[in-house]
Amino acid sequence: MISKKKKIILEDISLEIPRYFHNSIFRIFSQRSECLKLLSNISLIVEEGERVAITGPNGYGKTTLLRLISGIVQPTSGTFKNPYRTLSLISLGDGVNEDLTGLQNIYLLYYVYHYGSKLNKQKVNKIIEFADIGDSINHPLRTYSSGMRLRLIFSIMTAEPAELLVFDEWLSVGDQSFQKRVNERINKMIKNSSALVFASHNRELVDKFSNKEYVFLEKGVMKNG
Amino acid sequence: MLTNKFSSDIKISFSAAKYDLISRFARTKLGPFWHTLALLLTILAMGAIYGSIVSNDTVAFTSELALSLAVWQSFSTHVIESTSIHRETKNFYSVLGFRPFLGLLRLSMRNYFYFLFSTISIAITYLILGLDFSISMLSIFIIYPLIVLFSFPLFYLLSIWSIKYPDISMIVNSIITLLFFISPIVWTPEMLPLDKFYFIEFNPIYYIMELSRSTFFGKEILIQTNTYLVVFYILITLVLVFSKKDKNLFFEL
Repeated sequence: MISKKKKIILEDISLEIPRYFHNSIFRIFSQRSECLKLLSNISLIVEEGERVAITGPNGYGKTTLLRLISGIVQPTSGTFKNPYRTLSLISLGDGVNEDLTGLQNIYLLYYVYHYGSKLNKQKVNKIIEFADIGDSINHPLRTYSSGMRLRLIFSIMTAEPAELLVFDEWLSVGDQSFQKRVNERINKMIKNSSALVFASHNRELVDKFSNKEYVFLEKGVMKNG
Repeated sequence: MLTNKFSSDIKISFSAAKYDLISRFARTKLGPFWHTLALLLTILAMGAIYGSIVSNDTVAFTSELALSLAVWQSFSTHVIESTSIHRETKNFYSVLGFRPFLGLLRLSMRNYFYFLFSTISIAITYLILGLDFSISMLSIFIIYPLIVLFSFPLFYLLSIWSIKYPDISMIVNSIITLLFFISPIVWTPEMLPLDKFYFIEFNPIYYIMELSRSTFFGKEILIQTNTYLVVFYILITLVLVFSKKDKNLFFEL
């Protein structure tokens, strides 16, 4: 059982990265670069049971913040703590190999998305069943339509429950009937999770799913909403 | 927890390495045996030509060349690919975060698979030349991974440096080409005049080749070889320990 003391803490977090410029062919020994500040002094707490929405215009740092919470990038300064087993649905399709079959991609991606979990035949069958792409599972991914590809990837990514769910925008996968199943699965995952952090531009979704909101007011600067 | 993570890294690396091979040879008739065939043809052609130029005994020369080329090809590919492996693994890092160990493990496993297919060409060369097999030859399956293991700090440094300084990749490519000609791969150290011995004395490839040859042919391993190897790898490990670790190299990939 999850301890009640578990919470995500970001305290005075900043993130800076170098940005390089393409050199002129005649400027051989000088590499021009600048320091880009993606996040400035961000503080955020997500307690157990909270559903947190991150809002703000494009390019202000929402996805970077979600990547940071997911542990994909590390802060340059500040304190960061995430004790949860996290599933981040930030970009669908990372790690996919187009030349491999759907089945081979399951074996390749399962351990990437569900780090530390074990895969067995039963789980593979469940992934295939949910994706519902028939015999195409044995064909190379490059022969799939974009809808089929997303169905399979979504099925792999959501094959295991997680304590913390991190979404970047709400997922819109496949046709109407599949979208219904996607929503059912997401709702079930949210219900079983300890916390949810998502970024969205959709006011209706933010009001429906969140009980706390943080707003990016300018590039890299956030305010508790 | 740590064991669980290590076991996950192994599983991801193994799957990625296996599927790298599968996707590279997808739809080909011979699959990875193309790698065996290409090396075999090189061994036989070079053995016939260079054997008659630099040695009186073409058969003995070709038998040594087979091992040297198999080891050199795998090791040099490993060095060159270490400068690009993190870019290749970027897709996984965008899910898991930057984990240099994962990329390098993938590279090591993939290259070991290739090495296994290379050893088949050694075996075929021996069959064609009518040479006898010995039990000591099996040692190469352990010695080569050990060479890779001891070179791990070098691969690590090259992989990290090449992210920050893309010129490293170009430099490594140039050095590898040069090393092929100045290392005892096509020729043996005994053929080298004494006044040119410094070419191999300070050349790490010489020690790698000597270690492989000595164990493969069941000869005595020179103490000097071990000493140089130990010093070389301790130095590299020290550089690794003291090198500055960058937390967000992911953004520079």
